[in-house]
Amino acid sequence: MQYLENMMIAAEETKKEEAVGVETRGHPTELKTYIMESNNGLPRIQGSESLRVFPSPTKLPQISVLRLEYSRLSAIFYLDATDPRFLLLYTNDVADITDKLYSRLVESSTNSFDRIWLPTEVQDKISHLSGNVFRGFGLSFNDLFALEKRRELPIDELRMSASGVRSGRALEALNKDTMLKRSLCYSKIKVERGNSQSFVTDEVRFNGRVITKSGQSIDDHVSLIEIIRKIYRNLIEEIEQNSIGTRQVEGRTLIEGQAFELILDRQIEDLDRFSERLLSSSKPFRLWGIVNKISKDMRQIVAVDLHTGDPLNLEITPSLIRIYLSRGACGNTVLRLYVNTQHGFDSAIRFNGETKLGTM
Amino acid sequence: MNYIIGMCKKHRDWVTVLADLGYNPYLIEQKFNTSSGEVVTPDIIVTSTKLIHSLVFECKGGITIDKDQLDRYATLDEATLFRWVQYAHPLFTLQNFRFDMCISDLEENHPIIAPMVKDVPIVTFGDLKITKTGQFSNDALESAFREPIDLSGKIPPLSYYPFGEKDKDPYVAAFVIRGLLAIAIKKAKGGPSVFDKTIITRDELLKFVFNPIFDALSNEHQGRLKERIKEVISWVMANKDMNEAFGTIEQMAGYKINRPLEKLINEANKFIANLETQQSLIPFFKS
Repeated sequence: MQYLENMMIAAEETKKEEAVGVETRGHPTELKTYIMESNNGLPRIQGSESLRVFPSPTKLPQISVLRLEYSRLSAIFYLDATDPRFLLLYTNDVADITDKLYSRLVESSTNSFDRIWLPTEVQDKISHLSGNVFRGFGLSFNDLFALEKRRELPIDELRMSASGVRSGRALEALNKDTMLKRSLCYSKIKVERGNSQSFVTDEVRFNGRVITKSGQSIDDHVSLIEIIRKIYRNLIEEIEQNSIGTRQVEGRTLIEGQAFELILDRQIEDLDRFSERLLSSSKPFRLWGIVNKISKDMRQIVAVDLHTGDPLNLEITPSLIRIYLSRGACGNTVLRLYVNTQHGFDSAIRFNGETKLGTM
Repeated sequence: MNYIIGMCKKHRDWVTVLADLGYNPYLIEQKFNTSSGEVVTPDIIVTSTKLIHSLVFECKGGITIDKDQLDRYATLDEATLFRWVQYAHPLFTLQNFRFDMCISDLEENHPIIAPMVKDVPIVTFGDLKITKTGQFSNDALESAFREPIDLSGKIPPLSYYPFGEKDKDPYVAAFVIRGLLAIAIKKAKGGPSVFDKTIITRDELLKFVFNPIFDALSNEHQGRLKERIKEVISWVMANKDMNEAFGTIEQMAGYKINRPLEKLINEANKFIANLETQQSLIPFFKS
């Protein structure tokens, strides 16, 4: 903890020096925390495809140092495995490098790691929790399903950011625009915690990277990470509890769970093209699947989540994506699909299911 | 089966009539020995804690009705069923628990099915509506099905019970190929290989091909599905291009496998299209 605090102080001092024109040694090396989901608890972290992983133990059994190398890039991460399902990777190396190395790690097929995927409504909830002050936001929407022939609709790309306590009012104004309302989702939120003597302002990205932008209160940074981790854990556990499976009671095999539904505000015009993009095996969806044409307006998809290798069934109509997650499969699959559809097709999408997310 | 399970769920775009009455899917294909010594195996039983009631479904996808089967169902009584539902429903007692038997059929078959069924209500699924003939003893249930239920704009769930052994080859093949890919992907994470000869005997493959509801099926049904899955796996793995595609995916553990996955989907679509052609040319292609 002391070590992390020192990282924060060093970054803060570098920024102060820059602000008064003192020559510094390059990019500000802010404290960055990546919240990483691990489907198999804490496995042996393996290198792959030229990503080299050099772990070193510390005196604390749950903490280790990881040096990651890819091509000419290299960075040191501090791995906190106190919660083996949601691991924390701390670093103060330059974000451009650590982001690339972290991507290599979570996308490697030899590990079962994934990012966490925070829906916009969850980011909004975090920013307004007691003790947090909403300090700004970034919006990012990129239509991953854009039709080849450009039409007036939809908005294919939108990026903007706003800072300050009243930035929420700017968002309210944007939400009133019918053209824009399907393209408004948080890429990041800025949250301040603490008091005037000791505080921190953190930038929380939708894919689980938290950067300390100002302040030196490591306690407030760590407590914010814990809040995010707890909220996310609850979401994932609820999804997994509602997945489709069976339960044994006194020798009887009972059926449990139900499919989750993503309700679209923006209609899918071309189901085949949508399915093809969704099942391209690449980022961000990481799904492979066979499409079964049920009717003009319905496709059944027999899929595999390439992150875990778990099977997944989907049903897609112009206004609905139904997700059948099997018991034992990773709940992160559902949130990855939901959040990336929010960012890449329709930010007005709604989650319908017997979970808290369905009532947000 | 999917329609009935779906009606027990709060889906926005499907009928929620059974969910609204508190019904949950409870048992699939459970064999019962009735008090008069007969054996019945209903397709699905849904149970409502709210109504302290079970609804026992015999699903008829075709046009045949076994008269003996209906006679055996007539011997199913509260005491028999109660022994099976009491464990998960502590508030149920033999005194307050009731059940209704029900046939479900399809609209196009209903004129043939209906005259053969006496004293048992029938729930009929059409393209545009769900109708009921006969009468439920439970008032709430009777009231819920009294008027036809409009299906316009509704989207039936299809994947709770993904396929049966009698489904067509191309349809089943998609699930089998998916199951094999799931195994191949998991090999990179320390799992078995799709080329392991014992793979077909492993529960994990059956669940990857089907889904966890496989566990709830009767032994007989599981056996029939296993044989069907085994048959389709043998076709898939005998296909040189499919076999190679799985081999490449397994060999490339740790590397980007987008291209091999692209090859697999192309080969899978070709394989499925070929099965479709064979089925359309030879009506009874499968022995």
